[in-house]
Amino acid sequence: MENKTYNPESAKTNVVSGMWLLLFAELIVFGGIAIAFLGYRIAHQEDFLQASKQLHALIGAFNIVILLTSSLTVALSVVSVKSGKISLAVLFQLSSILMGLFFLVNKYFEWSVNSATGFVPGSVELAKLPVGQNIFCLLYTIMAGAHTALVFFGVLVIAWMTISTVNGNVNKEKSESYQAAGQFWHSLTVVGIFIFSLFYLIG
Amino acid sequence: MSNKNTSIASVYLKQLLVWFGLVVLSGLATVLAGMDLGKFIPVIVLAIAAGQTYLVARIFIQIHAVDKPSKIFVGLSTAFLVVSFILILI
Repeated sequence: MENKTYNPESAKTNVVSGMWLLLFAELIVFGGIAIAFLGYRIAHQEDFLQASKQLHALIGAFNIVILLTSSLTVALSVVSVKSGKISLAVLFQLSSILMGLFFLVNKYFEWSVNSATGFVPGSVELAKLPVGQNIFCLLYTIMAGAHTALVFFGVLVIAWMTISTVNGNVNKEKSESYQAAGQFWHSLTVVGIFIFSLFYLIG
Repeated sequence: MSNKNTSIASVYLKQLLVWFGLVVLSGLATVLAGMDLGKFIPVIVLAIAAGQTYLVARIFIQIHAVDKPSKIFVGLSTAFLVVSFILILI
């Protein structure tokens, strides 16, 4: 029977390579949608401005503050794990999960309002509006929807990492997987910043 | 031990300050987007977003501590931003 031993260098290379591959995929998908947004915006500038007014900039700004705060707590927990302060790390990880859940609840309310006002693809109200507003709504729904789904996945990953930290599987010597999870979470914050800038502010 | 604790505390403080800076930049972008700055709004808002991305990558992700893949990632991200800016300015 093969004797499996933990090789820190090999583990680090695998985790880092996998994470960068995921981040590249994220960049291509979200970057592609963002470029499509900017491209269509040139053709439908007035429609995009009108459609942007349907979104609530304050709710968007609040969501960004939540994401930034969760990124802070993730970064603090990574430092805590690497310095062996496990109980502090777990506290920061739990705060990150809480922030992630808070973001998801906020998104739920935001989309409920959008749904009630008919600002969702395929609604009767939207069909009456110019084509540019329909494109804006479609791009927003795809980008924000994918981002929210990834945040949900990220919350699960951080929760799993928290359990691993409590169980001693993530610690000062074995922190690669948690660092990679942290990078994934920070990438979601960056995507969130661009969604806010493009859809809520530029419009 | 005391030096180590001081060092960790300074890392915590640095990250806290960066978080505060990021929140301020988000507020600034929101305020500026509400002003009548015409064609400059997209450029200003995206420049602020690029600055925020740099801070997150540098301080939270610690991108400088990673080797070759990070350079490719930064290269692609920069290329994306340049393309975005060109599209806006057309």
